[in-house]
Amino acid sequence: MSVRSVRLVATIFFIAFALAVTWPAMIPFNRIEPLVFGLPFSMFWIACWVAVSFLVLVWVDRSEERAREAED
Amino acid sequence: MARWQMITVIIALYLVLTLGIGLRAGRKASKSVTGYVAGDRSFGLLVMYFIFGATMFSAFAFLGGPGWAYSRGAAALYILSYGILGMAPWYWVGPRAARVGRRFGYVTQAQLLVGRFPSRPLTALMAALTVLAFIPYITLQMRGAGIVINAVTDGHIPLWLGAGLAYGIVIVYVLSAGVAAVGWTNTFQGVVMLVIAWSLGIYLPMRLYGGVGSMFEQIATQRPELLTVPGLTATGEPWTWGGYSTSILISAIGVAMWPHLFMKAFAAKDDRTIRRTVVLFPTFQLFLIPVFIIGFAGVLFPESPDQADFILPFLILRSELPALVVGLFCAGALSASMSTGDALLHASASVAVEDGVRPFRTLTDRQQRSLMRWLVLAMGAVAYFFALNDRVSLVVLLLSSYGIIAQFTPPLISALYWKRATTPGILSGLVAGSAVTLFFFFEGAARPFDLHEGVLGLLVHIPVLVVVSLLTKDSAPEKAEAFLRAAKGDGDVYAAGPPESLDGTGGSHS
Repeated sequence: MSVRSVRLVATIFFIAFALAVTWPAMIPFNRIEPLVFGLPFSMFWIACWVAVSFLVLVWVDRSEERAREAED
Repeated sequence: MARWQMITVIIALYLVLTLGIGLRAGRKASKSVTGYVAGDRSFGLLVMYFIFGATMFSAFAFLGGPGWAYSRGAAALYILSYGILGMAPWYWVGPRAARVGRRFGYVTQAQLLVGRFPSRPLTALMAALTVLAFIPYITLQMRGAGIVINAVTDGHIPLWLGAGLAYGIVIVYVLSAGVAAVGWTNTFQGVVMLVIAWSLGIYLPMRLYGGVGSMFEQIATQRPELLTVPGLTATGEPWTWGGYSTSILISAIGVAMWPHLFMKAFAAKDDRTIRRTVVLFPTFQLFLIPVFIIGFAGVLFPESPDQADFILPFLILRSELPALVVGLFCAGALSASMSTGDALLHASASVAVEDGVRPFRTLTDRQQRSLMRWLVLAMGAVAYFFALNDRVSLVVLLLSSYGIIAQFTPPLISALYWKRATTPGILSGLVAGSAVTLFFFFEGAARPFDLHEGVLGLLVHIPVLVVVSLLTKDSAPEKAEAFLRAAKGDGDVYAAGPPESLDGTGGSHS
């Protein structure tokens, strides 16, 4: 994937993240059951987005680094 | 030796160690202003990572975070949501700001803004808003340190002495070494915080409820309203979705604008370091989970503290932990308070001198450094005075200061990305946005859907900025172009591309 498309996907991901943890998209996931790793589902849902953010940022960084190396 | 004396010894050892690390770091930094404010632009990845992590998780994380989870339940989850949303754009914006910083020698946000939009009222306004937003913030950190020491020593060390001791040490190393000391002490304090938070977050629910899962099951049957967003307000009423969602929004927009964080972009060794710090940031963010668990552990506890913010020391003192663990907890909480407090003191003095005094008076490098040191002392003294005179309005002020800080985002993004932005546009946007924010802060009942006043400010700020910019002409368009070229990295020694001299000073500034 080109740097530009990686950036686009990452931007879409972070907008989705913002929507998923606020009104109204959060409502269907805003529940106590099932507990995951002992945490209420609402807390687990947000923690998941944070964890996936890390993977997305690593992916962005790799693609940007490759692009910078190619420029040199 | 009595229990509280042992705890005091552990705390004393910890404070001596912090002081040693701070002073040692200072011996290596240069005596220039760039050395004091931007650490000679030499911070590597490890130091940057912990500066961001430890600075963002202030005394609020150890006292306020568990306090929120304990009294307001899932409302606290907004803190988990906004951090990475606010930081992710800085993967691209941070290096851009750092490049113009290196090229033109900026060490503060206002210098960057005024470099693109020359205006003395603008720099004065930024300096005033920054100092105003910082005072309640520093005060809360000091009070936090005093409360913790007071609570765990069974009141043998009064609040004024505890806060005074902890911040006396902070002031000594900030005075002697500037940002280099802040960087290295935060690294040490960050490690202490992480270890303590995770151990307590697992230990307390185990000890009190037999595990994290069974703790939440018990809360779900007795207080289910605490486990779903948006949780409760401070008075125990259900919080609104509008208030919860816009708190996430305004905090995400504002977080990287706090001058003590933003200025670290100028302290980074290179662009790579800034990018990697952003990439690693979510790993620090997950540290909030044990902090919330600690707060939830207090919900079904038979007794309750006078104030929600005391829940963590309250639980620890009642769980009959060994003195060593209590001492270490205290060290972790002090870390949280001091690692934010030192950065705040340092940044506020730097901003006051660089943006509030220097544009109006010529100072030698030496005079500047000594003025900054006096201001660190003065800010410390003002905050100490407020810390001993507890007023509720301080917490309220801190929350509203986020709304003000977020108003720095549109001008800074425009400076780095938008060629058509003009000085009148930036200035009128900032004035209009801050005025609307302050109006709705004082007239809270007038806010539609309980939206955060800072968001309402931005809704006015951005259109004003755009329309006024389009209606006015840039007095020096070639200067704006040179600025944006520097932001893209043309001619920068750290970025790819041919070197090109713009103002005769060359690429890097040191």
